[in-house]
Amino acid sequence: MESAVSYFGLTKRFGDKVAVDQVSLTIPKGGFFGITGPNGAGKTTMLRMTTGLLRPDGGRVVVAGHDVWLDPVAAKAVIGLVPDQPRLFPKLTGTELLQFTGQLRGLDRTQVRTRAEELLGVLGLAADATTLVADYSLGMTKKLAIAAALLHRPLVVFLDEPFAGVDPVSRQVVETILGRYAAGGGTVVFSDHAMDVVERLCQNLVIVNDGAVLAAGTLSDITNGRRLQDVFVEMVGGAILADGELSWLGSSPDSN
Amino acid sequence: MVGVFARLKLRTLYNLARTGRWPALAVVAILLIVGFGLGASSLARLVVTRVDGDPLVVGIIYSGLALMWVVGPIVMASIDQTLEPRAFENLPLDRLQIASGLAVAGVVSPGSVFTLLLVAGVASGQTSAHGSGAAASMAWLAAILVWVLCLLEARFLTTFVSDMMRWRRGREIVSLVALMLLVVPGLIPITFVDSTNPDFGWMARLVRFNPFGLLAAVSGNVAAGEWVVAVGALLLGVVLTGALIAGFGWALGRLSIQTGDTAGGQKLSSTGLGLGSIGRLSGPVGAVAAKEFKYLRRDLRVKGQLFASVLIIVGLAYSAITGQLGPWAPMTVSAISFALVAPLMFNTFGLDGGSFWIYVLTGAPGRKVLAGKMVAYLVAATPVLLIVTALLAWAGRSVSYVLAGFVTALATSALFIGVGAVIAIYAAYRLPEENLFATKTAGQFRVVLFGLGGFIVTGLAVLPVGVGLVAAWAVAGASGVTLGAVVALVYGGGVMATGLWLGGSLFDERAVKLIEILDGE
Repeated sequence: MESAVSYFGLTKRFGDKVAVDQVSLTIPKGGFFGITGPNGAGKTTMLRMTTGLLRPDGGRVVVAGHDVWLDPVAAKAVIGLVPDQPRLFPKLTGTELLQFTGQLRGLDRTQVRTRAEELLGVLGLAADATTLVADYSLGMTKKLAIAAALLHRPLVVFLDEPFAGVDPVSRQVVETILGRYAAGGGTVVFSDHAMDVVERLCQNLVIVNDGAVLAAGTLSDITNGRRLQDVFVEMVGGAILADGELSWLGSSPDSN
Repeated sequence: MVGVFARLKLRTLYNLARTGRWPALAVVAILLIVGFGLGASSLARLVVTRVDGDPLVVGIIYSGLALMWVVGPIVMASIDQTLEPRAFENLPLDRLQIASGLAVAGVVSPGSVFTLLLVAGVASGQTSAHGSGAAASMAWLAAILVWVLCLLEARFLTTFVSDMMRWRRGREIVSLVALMLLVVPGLIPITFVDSTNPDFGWMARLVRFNPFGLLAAVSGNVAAGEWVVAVGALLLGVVLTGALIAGFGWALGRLSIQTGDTAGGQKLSSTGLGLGSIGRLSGPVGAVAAKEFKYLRRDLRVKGQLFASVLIIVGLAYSAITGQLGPWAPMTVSAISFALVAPLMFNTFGLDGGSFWIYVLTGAPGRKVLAGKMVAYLVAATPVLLIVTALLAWAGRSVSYVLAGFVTALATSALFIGVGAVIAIYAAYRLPEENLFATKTAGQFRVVLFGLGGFIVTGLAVLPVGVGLVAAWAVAGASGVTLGAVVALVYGGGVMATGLWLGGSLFDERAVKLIEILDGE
């Protein structure tokens, strides 16, 4: 199996807390790969180290044959990234942002213009192409960040909770675009809490908790015919209300 | 690649002027900076020519520029992302490309143009004063070097603090240091306002013997035949340029090897800059006050203000020890007191976008909301004002200064609050209904109006009240000061009461409208 991303003992500590603990993992080339886990599990830290934004304390990450921390420029050239909170230039319009992003990535101006127009059109941002990013809603900003991440046709695209704040119609569009990208040989790696999304899109996934890998492999191997939600809660462990806890919520409002 | 960065910066500036929320303001700001630069350049040329190229005068200009380029870019760092190295972190650019790109983005800025114009005016003045070709050439060389040093120090510092600026505690520490750098030179004139025998010698030495002061003296040294000193100063400037370039590169490299956000945040959070609790408050007024006070405790401006107040108190103490308080003391007290409490008012009555609408949803009466805000403001402001005025009373050996300072500051604040409450609520009230919950837009709209209103009210309140007190002091002595302060309190209090009443009415009308909308849905 050809790999898109390989982790070799990746480790990150913040003070006493181990955010990512000796993660060794292979993400196959092509298709969707899901990284899932509860809040604070280390998903974002893992993605930041994978995309050259946070230096690991130990271990290596190789993306499309490039060691991210030995050759970050080459690695970033084949990576597309959509962070959970995209930092885009607020005083540029949508079109301008894509144009400058493309040019900073060394793309030809005409090529950038054509791709930008297409992406904005497909993502439903054409009408707001000349609006400043500062005036975009969260969902529009997310879509623009996705366009910026796909503009240079990366080999692997990483998305940190890409569907948060995106309306159902746009979500469908984004899923279709990413699906087409994956069908063309691209690899989509994304983190998400929404188990239904992960279950629907991903052929492979990893479940992390406290920085460690709990399970990794194909969806069918991990779920074994059960719902991913149930498997996830079972592995991670969920808080269960004891008898009597929050009982006031179930009482009549008149009893206030 | 450098060209792309330059175009990116130009496009950002153009958009700011073309389609920003405050296009007119942006254009005016840019025109003002450039226009002010031309004016400053001409003035600098005139002054330097008139004082025959006095290195102390030029040193003050150059050192002032250097200071502005330390503080300004840090304060503006979160505003202009084209200067923020982290904005380019996911692009396949190497360190040299990012460094040169950021440097170019720094050059393409109104501040850079202003600085270039100013140093050109200075060099032109020195050329006129010193005559000889060699001295003129050296003056221009030194001026260009000062410009380059200013730009480089800004890039180095903003890159150096880039990681810290991503965290609240980090931003607080950086801003406090920047504030201190601004306040300390600002204190120097204050400390000598009332001093009978001020010693300016140490200031002159500070200005003359820093690298920028030495560059200021280059042309004069050449004219006097002191070539070794002149060349030495230029060499020092070149070495400093090299050091800043190296530092900039190092700071950029350091970004990628930081131990990470959380570690930095954890480390910074242990520095203990938080203020204490004010205890329990109850009822609608108390609940609003508690919420507002919590916000004040978490606001950077409040902490900066308290930190600045310590510095100002030190300045006042120095002034009191070294000299006698004169007739300008009440004016000084008024201005200082206002400066101390102004940030609290901004926070409580204007800049918090959701500050009013969150209360609309609770159905709390408008006047009680405003009263709660007032309680929070007074709880936070009173101790600071008391410390300053008590110190002044001790220094002036007169109780009347306590009343003058404290009452004047309260009156000024009251005036500000009254007008500010009306402006802020009216601004939100006039927003289209579809923007009712668009707190970002509402907040920014209020910032403009409140900011403009703030300047006007400051001018209306501080100056007449302060000048009136000075006049009263001059005419009737200490008792006149007290009388003037009481008049100021009545005046300011009256405006505050009117403002709270009007503001409360507008607030409640808007609440009724909101309820109608919600019922309709």
